[in-house]
Amino acid sequence: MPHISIRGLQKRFGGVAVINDLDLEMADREFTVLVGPSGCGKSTTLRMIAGLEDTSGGEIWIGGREVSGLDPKDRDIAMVFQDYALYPHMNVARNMSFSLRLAGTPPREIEERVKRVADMLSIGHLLERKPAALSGGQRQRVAMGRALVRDASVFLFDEPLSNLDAKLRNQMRAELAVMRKRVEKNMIYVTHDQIEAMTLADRIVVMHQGRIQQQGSPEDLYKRPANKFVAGFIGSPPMNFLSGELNGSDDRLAIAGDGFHVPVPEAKRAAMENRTTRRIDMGIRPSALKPVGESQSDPAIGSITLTVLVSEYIGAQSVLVCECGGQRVTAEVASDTPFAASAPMRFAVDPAGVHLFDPETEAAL
Amino acid sequence: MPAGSPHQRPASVGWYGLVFALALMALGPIIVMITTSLKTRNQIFGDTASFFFMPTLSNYAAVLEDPANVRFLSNSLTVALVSTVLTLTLGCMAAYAIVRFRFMGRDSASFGTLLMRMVPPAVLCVPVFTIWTYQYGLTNTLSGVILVYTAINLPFVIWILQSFIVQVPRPLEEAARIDGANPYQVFLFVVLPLIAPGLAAAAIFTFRIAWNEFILALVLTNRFTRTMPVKVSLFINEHNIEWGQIMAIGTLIAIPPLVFTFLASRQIITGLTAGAVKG
Repeated sequence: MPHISIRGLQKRFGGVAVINDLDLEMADREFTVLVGPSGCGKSTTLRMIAGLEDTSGGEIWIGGREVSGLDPKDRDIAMVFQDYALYPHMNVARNMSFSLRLAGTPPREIEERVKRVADMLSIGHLLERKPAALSGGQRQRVAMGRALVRDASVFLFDEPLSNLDAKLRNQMRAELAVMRKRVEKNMIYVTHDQIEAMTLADRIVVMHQGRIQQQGSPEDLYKRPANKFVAGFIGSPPMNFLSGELNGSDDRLAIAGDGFHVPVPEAKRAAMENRTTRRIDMGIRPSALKPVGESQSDPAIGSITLTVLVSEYIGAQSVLVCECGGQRVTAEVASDTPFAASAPMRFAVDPAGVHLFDPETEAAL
Repeated sequence: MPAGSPHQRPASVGWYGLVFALALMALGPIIVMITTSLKTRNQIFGDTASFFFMPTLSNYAAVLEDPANVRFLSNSLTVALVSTVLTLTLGCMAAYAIVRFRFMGRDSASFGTLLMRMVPPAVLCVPVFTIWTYQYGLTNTLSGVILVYTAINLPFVIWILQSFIVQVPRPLEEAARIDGANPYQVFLFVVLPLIAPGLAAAAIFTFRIAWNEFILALVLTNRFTRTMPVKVSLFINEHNIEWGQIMAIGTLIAIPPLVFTFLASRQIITGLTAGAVKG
């Protein structure tokens, strides 16, 4: 039975619709990540689930109960805020136990639960400190501790790692992944960082302009993006898009454009046959581009000629920022690959990394 | 000129002279009040104004031995404390509502409170006296005075507290709501502790106005309910001016506001919200 169910959810601020008819089902003990660019409505959706924002329409069901009219305190949820929102006048122990004290839990049990969670997050030695005396990472842990002590049935995370520096963020991300295995609860996590989404989620929900673009496992979204937006959003470095035209027919069917000629992958050929227009958008993952010598030319494998503009050295890999007929293309290559700046360079295209989109609807073909 | 640079400051004789003159202007009346309160009648009216005299506590004794004065002192304390508590209680709730809730007329309510502050208390005398007397029978009672003081001080308190409440980060209140607090608990356990410095500042302000107010108290009280400032004025009558006792009472009634200010100002610690959100 799905634990959280959102049906026809709507939100308008003034006359502006931010969320349009959102439907979402989340199974019990599932880690769902809402991801999307700023202003896509993901935080608003989370805040409506939490009860911090009124809904303009639709229903929110948690565990078989319609909660959209209830106060946050009656929804059995815990939440971690982007800015931590620790009570500055209480020490760590009192911050964590605030909800339990409000609920009238016996002091002995409060102490036990706070201690257990504090040990799990290794903040046991900080219990007497005020938030002002904590580092960013420690505050983050306390904020999580405050949620975990609750033993609520749903945990909500609103971009909890976005205020940490890069190193700490990676570390906390890993800890979160470990923690979620121990705490088997329904978790909804909002982020704009697709790497967080990919690494943590059982299921990713990509949102854009108040609508769900696609939902599925991280692998699903990476391998079978439903449209151009999802394709461009998931994956790092982001997917390249090139406009081209279909030419040839049958097994010679290919997408051609300025400087490239890529045969249509076999699986997609049927869909191409009955298209009325020949214009098409092609997406290529940067990792699907393999540098090849000028002489190796096999018409069965697609090829593309790019002018390298600059190379971004990352370590084992380098990202080559190139140009192709006025369009930017990035290629992810081993960093020992020789290249010459401003010189044309040929790449073979791995058909598995090629995605085709309708230029009008932007839907995947 | 860079601020706080010691080299730029004119450390000349003239500078110290100016500082001394300013200090004398501020402290002079207080010094005169205290020394006069320690003098006998003859010393006060002696031909030579002297800094050297044998101090006496006879004025204080005379003032404190009069049971009426003790009663007026307790009237003053009651009026000042009760109206302070009342003003703060109402003020913090009103300020919270104006800052956090959306309702029609919110901005005009906010600005209107400040406008009310611009009415001088003397203007209120006649209407308040009439209404208190003929409609509510509140003249000559302490509650009547307390109500007026609360009404006078409320606008300013609301105004100060608004600026403190605005600074309480909203996510804190949201976190408390998620943690299971109802709106009153959010206000009591999260907002109030965080605006403690503002409450202290407002309390000092309110207490001192209520403690020192003269005109309304003169009009609204009788010989049982009058407050200290009114009592002091009564030492001046057609037969006599008791300067020694006036100054003794003046010294005595300067003490409670000092103590109150000292206690309350310990709450004024800035940066109390540090560490609440990121940073």
